[in-house]
Amino acid sequence: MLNSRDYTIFDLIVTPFRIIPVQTLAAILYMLLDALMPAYQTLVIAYFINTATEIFNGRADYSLIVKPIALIMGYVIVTHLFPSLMQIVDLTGRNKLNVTLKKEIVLKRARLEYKHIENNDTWELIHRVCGDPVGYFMNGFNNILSGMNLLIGTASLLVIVMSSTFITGIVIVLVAVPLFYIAIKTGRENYAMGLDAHRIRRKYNDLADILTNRDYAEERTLFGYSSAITDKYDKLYKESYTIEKQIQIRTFVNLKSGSMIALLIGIVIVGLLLPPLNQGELSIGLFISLVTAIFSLVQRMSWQLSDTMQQHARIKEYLKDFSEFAKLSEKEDAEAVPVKVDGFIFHSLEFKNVGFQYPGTDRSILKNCSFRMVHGKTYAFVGENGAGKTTIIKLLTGMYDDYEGEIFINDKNLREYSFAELKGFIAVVFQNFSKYALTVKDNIRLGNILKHDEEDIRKSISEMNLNGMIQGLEFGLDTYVGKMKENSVDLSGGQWQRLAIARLLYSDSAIHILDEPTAALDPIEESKLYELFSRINTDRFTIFITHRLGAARISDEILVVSEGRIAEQGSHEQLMGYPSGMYQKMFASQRSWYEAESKVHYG
Amino acid sequence: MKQRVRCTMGKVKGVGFLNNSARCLRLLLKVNPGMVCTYIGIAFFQAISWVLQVLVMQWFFDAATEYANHNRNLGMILFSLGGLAVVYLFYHFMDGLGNCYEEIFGLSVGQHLNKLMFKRIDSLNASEFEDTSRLDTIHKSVNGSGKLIWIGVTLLDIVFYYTTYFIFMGWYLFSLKPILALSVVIVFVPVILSQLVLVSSFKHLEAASAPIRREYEYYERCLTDKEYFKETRLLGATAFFNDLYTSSIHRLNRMVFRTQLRKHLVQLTLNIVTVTGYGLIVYMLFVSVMKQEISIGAFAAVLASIGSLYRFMNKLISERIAWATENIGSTENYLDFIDEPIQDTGSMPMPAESDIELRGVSFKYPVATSNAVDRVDLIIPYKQTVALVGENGSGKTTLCRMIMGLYPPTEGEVRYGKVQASQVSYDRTSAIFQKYREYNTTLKENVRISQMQKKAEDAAISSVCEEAGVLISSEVYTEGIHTMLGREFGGTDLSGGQWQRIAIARGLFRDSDLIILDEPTAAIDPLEETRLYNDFSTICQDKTAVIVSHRLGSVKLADRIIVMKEGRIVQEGTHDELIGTEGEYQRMYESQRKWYA
Repeated sequence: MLNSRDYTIFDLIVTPFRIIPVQTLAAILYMLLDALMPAYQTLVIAYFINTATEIFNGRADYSLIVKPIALIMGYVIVTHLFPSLMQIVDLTGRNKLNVTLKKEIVLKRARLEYKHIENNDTWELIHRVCGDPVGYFMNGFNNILSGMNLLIGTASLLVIVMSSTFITGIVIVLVAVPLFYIAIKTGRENYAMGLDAHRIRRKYNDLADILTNRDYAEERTLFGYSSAITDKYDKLYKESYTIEKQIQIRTFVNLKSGSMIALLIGIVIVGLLLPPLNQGELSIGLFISLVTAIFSLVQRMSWQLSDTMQQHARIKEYLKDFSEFAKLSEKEDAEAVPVKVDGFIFHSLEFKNVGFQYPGTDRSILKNCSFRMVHGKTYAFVGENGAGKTTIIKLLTGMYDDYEGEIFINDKNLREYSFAELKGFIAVVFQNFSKYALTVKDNIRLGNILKHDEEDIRKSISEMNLNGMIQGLEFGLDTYVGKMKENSVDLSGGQWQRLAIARLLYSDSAIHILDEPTAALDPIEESKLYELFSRINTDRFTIFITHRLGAARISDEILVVSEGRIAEQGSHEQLMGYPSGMYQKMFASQRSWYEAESKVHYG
Repeated sequence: MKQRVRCTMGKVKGVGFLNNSARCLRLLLKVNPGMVCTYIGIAFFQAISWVLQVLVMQWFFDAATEYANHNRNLGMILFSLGGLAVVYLFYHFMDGLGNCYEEIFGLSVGQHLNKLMFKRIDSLNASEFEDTSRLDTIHKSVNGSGKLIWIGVTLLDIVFYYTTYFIFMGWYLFSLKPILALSVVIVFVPVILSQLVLVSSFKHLEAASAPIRREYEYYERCLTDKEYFKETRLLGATAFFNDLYTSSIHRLNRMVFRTQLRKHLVQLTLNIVTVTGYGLIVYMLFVSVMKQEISIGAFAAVLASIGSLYRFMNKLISERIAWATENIGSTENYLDFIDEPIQDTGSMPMPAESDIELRGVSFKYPVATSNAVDRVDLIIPYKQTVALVGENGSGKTTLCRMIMGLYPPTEGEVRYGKVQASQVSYDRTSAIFQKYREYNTTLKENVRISQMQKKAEDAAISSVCEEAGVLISSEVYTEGIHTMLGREFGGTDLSGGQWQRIAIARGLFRDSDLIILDEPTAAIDPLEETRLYNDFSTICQDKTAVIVSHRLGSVKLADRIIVMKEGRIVQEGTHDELIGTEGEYQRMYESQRKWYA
């Protein structure tokens, strides 16, 4: 349904027609009915006044008034009762769009290539587009309808005027065109100026956040910068105030000068209607109702037209964003469940001259990165923040595939495995792992979505020493954790970590990766956790990532990542043997804290 | 505070509304009396212009009828037309002016209201942000600040615009024919009824759909949010969450539909009442015309104005008053908040060369069951460097906050020399916070924000940056210390380690006699960490300093080490002393040291 192409105003009509044909048709019919109401009202009131005059003058029977009154009630009913009914129709349409259009968009998001998620520009685009797509589509469609409503309403009144006096009709058409133009222009200009003000507003709102948000409380209080920041806020506010004031005044002048011209033209038209009235070509009833209609039209045009145009400009911008979103590339197999490769046994993992830079940046995060890991050993990546450790994992897990060089698993190029297969043999606990607000059981079960083995779930729970916690829960394994449901239990940071690792243990994947899931823990906790993990996970191929050297030591081989390549690889002892090696230096530096008092005796 | 809550709860809703409205208007008058008066004037004349329209319309139609019957000449009717033109022009002018001025008024007052709030928040104690109910009040006040102006405008409009309009219209209709004044009531009753029904019986339905909505939004996040994206994808859990998502949309849709259907049906029923009333008015008008009680012109003018009467009433009651009653609560919050008596915050200078003394100090976080810091006695002599060590959650950060005077102890007291810490200003205190902030501004501003009053020459900033390990010459800082930072406004994005270095520079830039360094290097890599700790010991030489660290070895240089566990001080002494004693320190030290053995 969502294709990668340009979406236009046309789609605002076609899309609802395809998804909610009945509601769309009803909306259009109602719009037509509503648009014809001013004309209908004019004719009916004229009819009423004329009949009343006739009766009054004794030329007609009293009972004849029933028909015009009934006709008047006709439009009262349409204008007062139909809106409620239409809102119900509108609601069913909105609901349907939520399960179709909105869902489609959410799934498209879930299929996007990972690079779009990490790229700030596309991420903002995604946010703009996915916030309320149904609202935008509905508003866009309704806005078109209200524009047509205005147009048809005006035209139908014109027909009535023209049918009594043709010339005045022509005059109205001639002056209406520039008025439309003014309204359209004002709408567009205001939109553009509004963007400027919006930019400044974002800045001062950022300052307001600094001045009010809890997260800033400590620094704000101690550093006492509130008054200085308030001054800055004041300056920015004034700047945007000047712009916004200008917008308001310009809108006022443009719109009202427009509607005053329209009004004067209306007056002239009324003047032109006077001679026919005097000569009896125009009944007093029609005259009165036409005048009423013309003035109410002027009133409507003065706000509604420019509003419609402003909305239109906004929706066109949205469609531009929407098209761009629809064109964002998707990852193949993104939604697929993991596929088990029959008889897959891990032998080796190899990077050959892998180079990579994040899209939209010009810094190579990996440069000629090469290493080989084999079955039967555990490995650890160490290195500074930003050295490229996590990037290696992102490439390995297929989050990015536009890298240079080659990656092999079991000597077969990574690109030759399908993404679904990859999911089948790699399991990761990420640095910022997900805390799913599901039941404990589902949290673990997600680790291996293909199997359902309660026994195994319990096993991984007890392996991570979570038994005690589970016993304390009211519904045991079926307790919801997190903060979403009413009766859910929130876990501590450490418990979440264990739960995430239990999820990893439950999976049958051949390759297990722990990407600093412990960064928030203190070093002692981290080493405990890693020790626990390597004790229970002996039969799997495991990679640890850490920036704490002490924790890396428990692995058989350590790979030091520095400036995008593997600077050193070997066992702790081997690496300590390189006198000017990086690992040795880092290790020495950290060890120095524990060394100076070697003279001190204890125990 | 509890008392105040009870008292607002007990208040009769109507009285509360009036009372708050009065407070609201008083505040607006205080903030900008000129604009309020202008606004009132405009509102009044806007209402008048509406009524004038109806009057002049009748006058013109009467003239036209006469003219059609050849009882009047062209000059006279043109004169009436001229009058009509003038009144309509006046109306359009007032209409535009009113709308325009309302926006300008709102913007102008908004600035002052926000400033009042900033000032109030500035005077809060930092610990108040730990109390969730207090935090909630602050949130609501921030919210209320934006809404207050619109509440105020609504109130002014009710009094000066709508009331004027209804009085004049009622009077006009009454003078035509007394019974016609009933039409105001006929329009009024169904609108107010429908509002009452909606408010009383649909609120809880809205509330019932909230949890489902939350669920639905949550599953969407599991599929799309950064926090879940990688993992959901790699686990192949898209279908799993899609199922949950789809079922929650269906449930939400059903719920919303049921609620809205009932709401619209109520409205429909009441609209039928309106329609019937409308019919009655039309018939009454007809009868009056027949009896020659009113003219054809008056008939047409009234018929045309019934529509706008209904629109006015509808907008007033179901939009504006409904909105105002819904939001007056947060406005009350704001008003209460800025009216709270401000506690004396410390303004005394820090006593020179004083020791810091903690006596029986405890701190309990609002909802916690136990003390985060429990009966701590401690003296930090002037110019001593003290290190706080201990496991996660042992109360180190909380203790620091009390030493700085940021949090007042729930029990016991903190003194600088002879003066209570809470009475001392922060002028000579600095800190590098564990949860340091990242400001979306230039590097220079990011550093000097710790002491805005201090002259900040570029050279001084550069040198403090260098001290903190911020490499100004590196390619990251394209414009040196004037590089814009943070992605929010198109600045450079930095890594956690880089931001932390800036936070260090920020803490060092501020002149101080007391400095707190709360895990200042958590995001910084080992080699740099070593260098920084060496530097800290030099920096801290001429002042009192407290360093918090996980890494026991790194704080050896401190004059004294304090070991915390479960909120209490379990050991203290120099490194050499502690390492030779069996206890927590030795145990922790050993477990860390063994990695490096």
